[in-house]
Amino acid sequence: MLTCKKAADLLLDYLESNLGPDVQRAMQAHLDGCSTCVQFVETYKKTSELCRATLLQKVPAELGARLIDFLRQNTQPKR
Amino acid sequence: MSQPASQPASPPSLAPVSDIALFAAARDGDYGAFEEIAERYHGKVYRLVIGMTKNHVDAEEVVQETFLNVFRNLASFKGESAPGSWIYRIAVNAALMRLRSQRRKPLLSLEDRAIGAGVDVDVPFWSPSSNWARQPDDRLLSKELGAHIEAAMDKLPEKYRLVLLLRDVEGHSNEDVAHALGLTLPTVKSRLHRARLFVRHELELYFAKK
Repeated sequence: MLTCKKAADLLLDYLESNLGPDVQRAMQAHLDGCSTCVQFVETYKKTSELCRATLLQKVPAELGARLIDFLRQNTQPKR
Repeated sequence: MSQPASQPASPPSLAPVSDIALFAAARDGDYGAFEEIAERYHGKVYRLVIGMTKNHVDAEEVVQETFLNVFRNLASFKGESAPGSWIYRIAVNAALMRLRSQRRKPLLSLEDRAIGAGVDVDVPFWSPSSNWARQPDDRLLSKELGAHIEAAMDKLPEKYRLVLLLRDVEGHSNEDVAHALGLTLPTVKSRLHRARLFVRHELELYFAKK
């Protein structure tokens, strides 16, 4: 039977379905009976989502255009 | 049923060209394919290296250097890793070179980077709080919380932050992250898990004050 600490340690592999079938079942059984860990899993997953939502916005608007100009000036197209 | 005398031409495929196909075309001299590679990846590379350089001017110059090196080394890309992983490896090395040239002390690798040194990544795995994950999106996507997440990311030692950026922000597989950063798969997973726990803990502290 898994402890909450062990369940937390296995969480990444559990969410990616990388655990062996017995351990996967043990994890699911633990989560079925532990509301604390269910909350932990939800906040763990939400953390990744929030990181993505927050950090995807930060590219300067003209970066791509300046890059293409730079590359055209500094590379010789292959013929 | 009889066929019409002439069939209309089939419309061109609207499916995007794969990265592998673009790389093959670029290696064969298709400059337009190379520019498409730069268009696809410049944002991802920028988001990766800004976390290392900490300023926009250096980050943009590293992006330029990265794609210049991609162009110069196209022939050497053999397809052992995903094209994106190869580009990220070039980007990380370009950022390290830039930072090395700005420091007196030689900088050998990501492991030497002192940013985040002294930050204890190992946080309590759980602490009682409300289930903030169930709060409405307009609260979770607020500017204030966004700033808090950025601050948490900045606190992370770089070797953890880069894994989190590539995996959770850019959506690459653990295997591709391992190739991009020159790490083993277990190391990537360990760092990813600890990075997520750290940022999650920072969010717990934030919501505990609300």
